[in-house]
Amino acid sequence: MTYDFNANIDLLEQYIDGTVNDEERKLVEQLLNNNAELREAYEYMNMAVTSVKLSALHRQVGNIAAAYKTGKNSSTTTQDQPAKVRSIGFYAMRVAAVLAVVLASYTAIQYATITPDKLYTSAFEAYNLSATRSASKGTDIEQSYKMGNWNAVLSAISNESGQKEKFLGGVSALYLDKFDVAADYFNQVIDANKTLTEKPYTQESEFYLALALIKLQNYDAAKSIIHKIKANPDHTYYNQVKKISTIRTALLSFKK
Amino acid sequence: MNSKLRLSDTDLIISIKTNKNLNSAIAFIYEAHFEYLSSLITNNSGSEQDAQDILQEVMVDFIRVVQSGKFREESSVKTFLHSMTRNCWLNELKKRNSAEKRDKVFERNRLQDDNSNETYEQRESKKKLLEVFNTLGDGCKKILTLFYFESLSIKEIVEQTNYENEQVVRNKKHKCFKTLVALVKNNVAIIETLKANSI
Repeated sequence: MTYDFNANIDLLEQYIDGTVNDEERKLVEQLLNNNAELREAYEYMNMAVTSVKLSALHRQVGNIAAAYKTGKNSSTTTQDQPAKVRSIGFYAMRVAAVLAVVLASYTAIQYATITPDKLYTSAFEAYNLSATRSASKGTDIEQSYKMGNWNAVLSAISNESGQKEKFLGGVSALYLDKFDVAADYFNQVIDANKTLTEKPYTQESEFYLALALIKLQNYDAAKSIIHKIKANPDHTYYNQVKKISTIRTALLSFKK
Repeated sequence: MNSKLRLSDTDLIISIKTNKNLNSAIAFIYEAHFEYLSSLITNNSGSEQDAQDILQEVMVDFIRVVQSGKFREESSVKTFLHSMTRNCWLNELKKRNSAEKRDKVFERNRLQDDNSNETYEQRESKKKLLEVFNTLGDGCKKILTLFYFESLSIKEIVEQTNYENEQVVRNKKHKCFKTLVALVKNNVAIIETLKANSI
């Protein structure tokens, strides 16, 4: 090959991309050994690739950190709840009185401090798509979701999108604080599944719809879904929903 | 998020090196070590937000160190992360030009581990590198990420995007890459520091 810097630059890119054949690879390595200008260009290209990988890794770790933080808040809130006093004996009446005071105090404190945000945060759980590196990397929407590009997920959804895509759209909308949009997508998934035997993403949609409704201050509808999930131990989100106290949800209704 | 996974140091390193279940591995590190590492910062003049920012950075660096084969496994993951966190926080304090605080921080039990000792300049260079990438348009960022980070083939990118065919994707990727290389090249500060330190 005669020396043509631009042609060699293209070849260098292919070398970095791993798309050269053995002959081309040897040629590039020979050129890199003998040509300082090309070596410098190679360094710039490697830095460019580093910038891509760094950025993506940063985003990936950031998403997990955010999910961890949400989970931590959730468990902290649960632990903070006062323990129930159960001993009853000779001083049963006094204990009962203490219990009444404790319950009243608890209720008063909950009433004073409960907000839709707190209830939402205590129950929210990040929805993670499988991170396996299979031959198929998922749809465009799934890729955007994995990368935490919530706006891109919403932009890519159309009327023709399936239940999974619409569900991911709903969760993405939650991250963007677009709770009405989220509720709409979750309802679409649930409605679309009504006549189907298999009901993909219905249970997931129910759980996140309840959270969206809490944020939208539609507590009656949220309570109805929460009761439904709590009544079904086989529900995917049964354990998660148990964290949502009925008392706290009811108190929100009063505060509205 | 509540990862049920429990990993030994060896399994964790293998998981990161092979890029298998990387999300679970990162989540496990957060669950196992976040509180402890966070306290290193919050007990030494840092806020909770500082701790979150620093630990995100440490996590990215740790993954890169492991994936590049530079983690020698002579110390435990916890010890290594401790060392990285300490250095990263010292660098941050240095940046904030708070010599007094810096001198008081981690005076005892200083650990020596060259691999975890990133310089202030290296750290700033990486930040600059992230900034450079972020100046690209969304289309370019996406296509380059799918290609270089997700390791998708051109064909797979066509399947997952709205581009018409492989040639269009190939041209777009080439153009975006060329733009990014030019942006990097134009940033002399990055080049010089990276050349000197090879992050």
